[in-house]
Amino acid sequence: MTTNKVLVISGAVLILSILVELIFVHPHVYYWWHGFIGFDVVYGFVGGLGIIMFAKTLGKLFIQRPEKYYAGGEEDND
Amino acid sequence: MPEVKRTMIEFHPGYILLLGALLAAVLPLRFRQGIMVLAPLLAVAAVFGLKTGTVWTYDFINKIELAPLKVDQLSWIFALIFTLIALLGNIYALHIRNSGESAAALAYAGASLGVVFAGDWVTLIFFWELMAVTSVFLIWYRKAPQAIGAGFRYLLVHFFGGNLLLAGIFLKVTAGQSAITALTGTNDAAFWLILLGISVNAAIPPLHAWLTDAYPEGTVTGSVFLSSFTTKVAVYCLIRVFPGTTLLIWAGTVMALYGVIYAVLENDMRRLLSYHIVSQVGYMVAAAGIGTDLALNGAASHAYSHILYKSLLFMGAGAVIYSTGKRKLSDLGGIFRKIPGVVVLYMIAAFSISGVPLFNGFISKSMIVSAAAYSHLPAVELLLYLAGVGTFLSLALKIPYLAFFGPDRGIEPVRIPLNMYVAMAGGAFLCTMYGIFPNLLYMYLPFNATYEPYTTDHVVSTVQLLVATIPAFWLLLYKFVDVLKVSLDTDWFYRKPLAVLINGLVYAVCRIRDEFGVLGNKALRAVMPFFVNPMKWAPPCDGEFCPVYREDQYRFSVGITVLMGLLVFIVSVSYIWLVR
Repeated sequence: MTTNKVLVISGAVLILSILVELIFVHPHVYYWWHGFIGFDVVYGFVGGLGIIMFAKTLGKLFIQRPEKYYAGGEEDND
Repeated sequence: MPEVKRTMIEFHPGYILLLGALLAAVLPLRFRQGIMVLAPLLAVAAVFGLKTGTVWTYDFINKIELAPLKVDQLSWIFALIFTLIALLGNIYALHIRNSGESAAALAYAGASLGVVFAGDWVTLIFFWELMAVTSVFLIWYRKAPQAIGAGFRYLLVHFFGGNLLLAGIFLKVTAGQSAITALTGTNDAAFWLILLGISVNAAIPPLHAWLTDAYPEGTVTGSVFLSSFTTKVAVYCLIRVFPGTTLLIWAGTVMALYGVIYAVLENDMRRLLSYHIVSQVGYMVAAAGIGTDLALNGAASHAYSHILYKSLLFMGAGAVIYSTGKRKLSDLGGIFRKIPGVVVLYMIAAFSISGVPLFNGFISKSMIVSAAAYSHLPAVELLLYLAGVGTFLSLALKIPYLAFFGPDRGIEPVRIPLNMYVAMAGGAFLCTMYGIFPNLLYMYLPFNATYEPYTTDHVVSTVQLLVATIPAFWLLLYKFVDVLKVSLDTDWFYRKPLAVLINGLVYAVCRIRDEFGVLGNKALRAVMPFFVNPMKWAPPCDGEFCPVYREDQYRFSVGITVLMGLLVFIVSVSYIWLVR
């Protein structure tokens, strides 16, 4: 699948879901974001980007080491 | 004092599995396979035969009362899922030839049930330790050097945690409180010791590294059992002993995100799944900490769902490893057309863990997130919700893309045994069944709270959240390709600095001993000429009757030495025997 196709299909589903939310959903609002139309879309997209970027940055700076780090412990195939 | 009610038709399901383990250890293959199916089946039947309120009690030394079987709704629902997964896991493992591994798996499941049904601390610690010593064989039986090493680390960490728990239990039992009750007194040393001991098994960071270190090193079939029992037994104990402990809310929330972050970096398939055990158990720990009826129901039901989909994930990953011999995502790719059955069944589990509506993760995870909102914990609600994004990202997008659908690397998988497919199909059936009919699970929940997962609001929000994750993943896909790295975690502290420290200490002690040995030998050699012949110091002999020194003249024979040893032994034993 090309990048465009993925973006178009998921975008279409999201727009459809927002329409459904506008028409059918009567949310129980405990906090403001429960009533914010499309909050979950923004949260999922930004959260997804954020988690990947945060993890990868942390990995690069502190966490990740070459595979042989623990005396080649990850090398077997079985 | 609880009333003793015993009827002849009630059996302890754990004892059935332990008996099955003994039989599996000695019987030949065909009979063993029979036992591996029959014992869990009987255990499931025994669980349905138990009535809530049943307590078996026995008097033990020092006026401690043992309660090996205490049934209430909480222990019952955990027992049900543990016996069900013992059945599925054993079906998955039917093809293995190693009797020791089959026995260890059955005993491990039996010990877990022993903890769940324990009504007193002494029974609990016994089965707690039995879990550790039986489960380690599921790691060691892979026999690779790193599996042996990881198994030892696993055992040491569990003994450490077990000893903390034991210390707490000593305090409790010596104070005359041998029955298991909810603990609240934070000024109490027993409270903290027991909490720490359970936290080790619940894999709460920084005490979690044993899990992600050892579970990926287990045998293909053993890891399925490992993923199901230890952490969920700990969750059960947290619900039972520490409901409403505020500290756990934050520990659980941190856990949920911690696992997600590490999973993004991970390249080893089963280690990635292990980080998602940490993440999912985080939801349950947080729910136990929130402590409302709805949250505790959420913790119990999420443990129930989690055991089903996580074991199915491990079965799927195990099937891939079994058939391709490869465990790293960077070595896999393009196997969708070759083992489509495994991929479809894996995807059911991945959708379940991500909380996609119509699968069982949705009906339990949403309960915990809602319970956080109802308890006025907005940050916890949002962060747990965010962890759901990461779960979908790693398990439903990253693994499928890299391992199943990505660039074909020309791997030719070998045939997967039918029993593995049967077990996976059973797991997938249960995941879907509970997802579509949540009341089949909700009717058994122990606490008094009702919840409706399928409101339009919930379903639309979840779909939006998860679908919006797809473009985010797709835009950053290039970051996931060919990451040949390992991630440092808290096990680094005992695998590197502690190893250096211990090696250093051993070296220092050896050096000191050697130096002293050399010195001592020198001193000995210097004085030896003076003592080797005592006659040397006697007055010089000038007559005809000169004494000659013979070394053996004043020595006892060996027989006399042995006789003396025996005499002392017999006297001491008879003394102990008589005085006792």
